[in-house]
Amino acid sequence: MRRSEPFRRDDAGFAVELPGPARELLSSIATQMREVVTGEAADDDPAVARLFPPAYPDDPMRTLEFEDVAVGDIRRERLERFAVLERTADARWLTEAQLLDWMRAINDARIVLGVRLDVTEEMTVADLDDDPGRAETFRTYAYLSALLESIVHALGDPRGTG
Amino acid sequence: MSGGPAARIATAPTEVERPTGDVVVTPDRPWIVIVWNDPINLMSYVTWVFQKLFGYPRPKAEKLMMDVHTKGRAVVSSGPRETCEADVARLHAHGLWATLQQDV
Repeated sequence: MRRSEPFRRDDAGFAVELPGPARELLSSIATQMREVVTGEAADDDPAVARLFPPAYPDDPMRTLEFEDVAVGDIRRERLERFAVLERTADARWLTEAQLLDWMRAINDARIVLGVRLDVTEEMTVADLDDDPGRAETFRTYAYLSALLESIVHALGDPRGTG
Repeated sequence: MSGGPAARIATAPTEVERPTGDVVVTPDRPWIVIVWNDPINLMSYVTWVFQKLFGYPRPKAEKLMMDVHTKGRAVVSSGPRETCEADVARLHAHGLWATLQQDV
């Protein structure tokens, strides 16, 4: 039987049907993501490095210039999106702009969890039977993947560019 | 490099300037934006991002997404360096692993 979608488009925005624990999880993830990106360990964190990949693979000088020019904005926008997710985690209804913030904040969290797990496309929770901590992380990752699928489905084909 | 007359005339070959590939830039070659495969980003999400950022119709966005998925990379846009840098920044902001380089 097919469960109802957590995210559904309505007249002017999106209805959000999520159980309380899921909302607590999203709020907690948003808080943790801000710490991951801004904390003292960020500089040496491969998951943070994956969020901000080098723009020029063979040109360190241009990559540094790109980081000077563009990365500050990308980082600030990321933090704003985590703040939106944290602030609206209890919302029963979201504007499209808010849902787009949720989408990217949730995907950023998937990226961090995916790097932590050293995830592969074939990985299942059964592969992590002997490691309850990683298995739990994988369940969170898989749950966020399902939420992201639902958001992309609810948004439908994007209009215009942005 | 071809050994034309100029090469034979040179008296001090060690001083001949040689292109080193990575550093020498040929201005008339366009720049390209490449998206690389990763095990994290969802196929539906990557397709959506290509539609959103580049205005591609869904079939083209899906084709590019499948190229990333099966071939490991795809060229998703091209043009002047500044435009490509802006595209890379927008792709990074969406969590995609994108780089730019001059077309070969």
